[in-house]
Amino acid sequence: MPHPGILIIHLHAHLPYVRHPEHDKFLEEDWLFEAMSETYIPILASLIRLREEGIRFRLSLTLSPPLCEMFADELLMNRYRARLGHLIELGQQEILRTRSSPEMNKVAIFHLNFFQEVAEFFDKCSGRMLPLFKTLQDSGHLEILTCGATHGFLPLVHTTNGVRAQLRVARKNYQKHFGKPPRGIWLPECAYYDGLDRLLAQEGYSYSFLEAHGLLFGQPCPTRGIWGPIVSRHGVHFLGRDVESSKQVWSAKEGYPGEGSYREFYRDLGYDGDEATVRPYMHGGGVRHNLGYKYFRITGSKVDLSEKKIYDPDAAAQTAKSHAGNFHFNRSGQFDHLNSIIGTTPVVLAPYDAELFGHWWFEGPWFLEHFMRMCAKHTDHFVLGTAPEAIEICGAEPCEPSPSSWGDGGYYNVWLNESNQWMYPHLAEAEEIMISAASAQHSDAGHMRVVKQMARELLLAQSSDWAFIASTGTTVPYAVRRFRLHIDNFQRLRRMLADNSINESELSSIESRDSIFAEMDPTVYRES
Amino acid sequence: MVDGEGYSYRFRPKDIGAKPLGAAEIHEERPPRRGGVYIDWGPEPPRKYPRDRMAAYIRDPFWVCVHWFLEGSRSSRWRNRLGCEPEYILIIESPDSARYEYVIPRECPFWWIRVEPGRSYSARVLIRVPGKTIEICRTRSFKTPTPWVKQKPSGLSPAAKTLVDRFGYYVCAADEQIPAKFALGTFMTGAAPMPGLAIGTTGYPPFNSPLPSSGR
Repeated sequence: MPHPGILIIHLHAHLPYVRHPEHDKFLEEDWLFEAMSETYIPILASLIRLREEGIRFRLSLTLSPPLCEMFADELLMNRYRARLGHLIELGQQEILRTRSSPEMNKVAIFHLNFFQEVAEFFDKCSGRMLPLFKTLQDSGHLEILTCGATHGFLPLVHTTNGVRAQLRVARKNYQKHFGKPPRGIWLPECAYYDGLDRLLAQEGYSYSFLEAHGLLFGQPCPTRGIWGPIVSRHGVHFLGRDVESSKQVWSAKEGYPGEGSYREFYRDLGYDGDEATVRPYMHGGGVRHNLGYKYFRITGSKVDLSEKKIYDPDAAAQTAKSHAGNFHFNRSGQFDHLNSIIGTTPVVLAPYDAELFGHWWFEGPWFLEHFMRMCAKHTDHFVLGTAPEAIEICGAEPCEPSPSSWGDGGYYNVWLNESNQWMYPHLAEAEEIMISAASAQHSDAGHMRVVKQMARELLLAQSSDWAFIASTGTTVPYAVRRFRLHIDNFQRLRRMLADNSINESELSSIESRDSIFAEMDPTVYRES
Repeated sequence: MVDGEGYSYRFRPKDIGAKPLGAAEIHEERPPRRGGVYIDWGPEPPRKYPRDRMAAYIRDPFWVCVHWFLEGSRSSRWRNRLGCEPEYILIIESPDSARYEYVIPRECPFWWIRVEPGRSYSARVLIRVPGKTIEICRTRSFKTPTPWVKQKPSGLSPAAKTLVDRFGYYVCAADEQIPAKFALGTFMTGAAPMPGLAIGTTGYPPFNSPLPSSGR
């Protein structure tokens, strides 16, 4: 009887750094707040529940450095708590407003309870979620990976020093939040280029994940395909994304999240409600946005938004449970097949954007919890595991991975095309200036502050999110503005340095706005 | 010298006889505030940097984007000496493959070049003056990805064969012709850099005009 296979469920949690102390309310901070309510807190609560019940589970999770920094930011967490308070207040009004319709009223009560539970959880941990993630890692249930410092798209970073900075700053930040260095790193967008493994090894990373063809097109082609770890010549281990399990969850057509009884993302009270109801809860500026009260279900893939039926949380919960069963059944079949063709313990890596679970697919965290319970109960075909466990049990084949990414097209075109190519010359210029500024000796403390802030601005400008958003065409003005602001800040700081004239108020203002990575050491950019 | 399929927005190599395209549409970045929605695109980044520098960005196995600034002391010294714009030459070359050469403008749009997969290249810009050429800047060596497995399908392990059979990954020897069914549009072939754009045509905005329609 072959050893049961190992299934690695990996959630990649990342958001760009959205922190705007210069405004009382800021629309894009909702990206964080929505994901906290719908994804991070429900999943965290679920994992703690499973552990308390003694359920055996493993989950692999990226917490990107910008996300960790935002979780640890007092201003953002205070704003989030205030936001929850507003949403609870709105829920109480909604219960009154919908009392004439039992169906709608049930959904209003459901949402109010949901936000109250989230708030209760948040208050119980005093708004500090990172220590809870850490305890789950310490108890062996969770394997937390880091990511590029600001999710920079590494194949398009101009210099080796620039790539090294993304890797090293991330490592240091992880150490700050979790008390030990990370073993693994999620490469932003799973993007790999020839030679990256050398830098990964130098910076102390022992494993990472790639898109399927990163392994399949490697040299030589691994005998286990994507279902076994490989090791590069510099000793870094890689696992490849499994196409089949990914498709079953991701696919807009065949994936679970499109089922009719699930909550419809695009019908939100923020857009549906009359102005008097929603205005007090909007950020101002006359722009409607999501409030998190969603009364309708998907109903059917071809059903017009205006024709959606009312959501039934109980029915959706049942569907999530049966989908979890289906996913377990399919994985069992997959592992049986793989066992027959591989001959050794197969490994299936199923990575997803964490925000899919909860934010986009509201019932995703329920699905995940059901699935983990099933995995603990039925271990004949496979068990849940982490990458280090898989590497230890299955060993690794020597192979040089192929350049690749998980973006559309399989390479780098999502981040390098007509909509975003203009960003790269600015980044290249900033990197070269950064290297030379960091390499110079600065005895003056003020100069060091300037250089440190330049490093932060460069890292923030490098975030792959800006190029991605420019490419996909949603919220483009914000992404363009953020990129330009960071480049502008960088250039202003450079001029202060060049002119040997530090404008204290300007410097303080930039520092307070872009305060990511307090531990930033700009000498990481020094030429080596 | 071999002509590649490089091109840019407003300029095509002289030696393939193409006519320059018309002037680029000027994008007004901040629409008038009277009516409509005001979009804050943030501060305008510098239009150029005082450098002689070039960079090559690999997009996929078949396409490379090259960008340059010829605003540094080396190139300006030659401009001053000649009293006019010299002829600038872009060369992309691989020790074991084709060499591409273009006459280029000083102010760079983004120059996309169709290259071969799995090859190492370097790019450089030269100034051609009577009797000689002078190198102004160059890139580091860069390698395009190899888009297929150097192994015959018959030699594949059952696991790799399963992937190929079920998900259509194409596996062939490196020198084998890519079959038509994996032609343009699949991720392992040289689809044009812009969706819907045939190879050899063009449509790129120049540097620093990245902004989409403001919805006016």
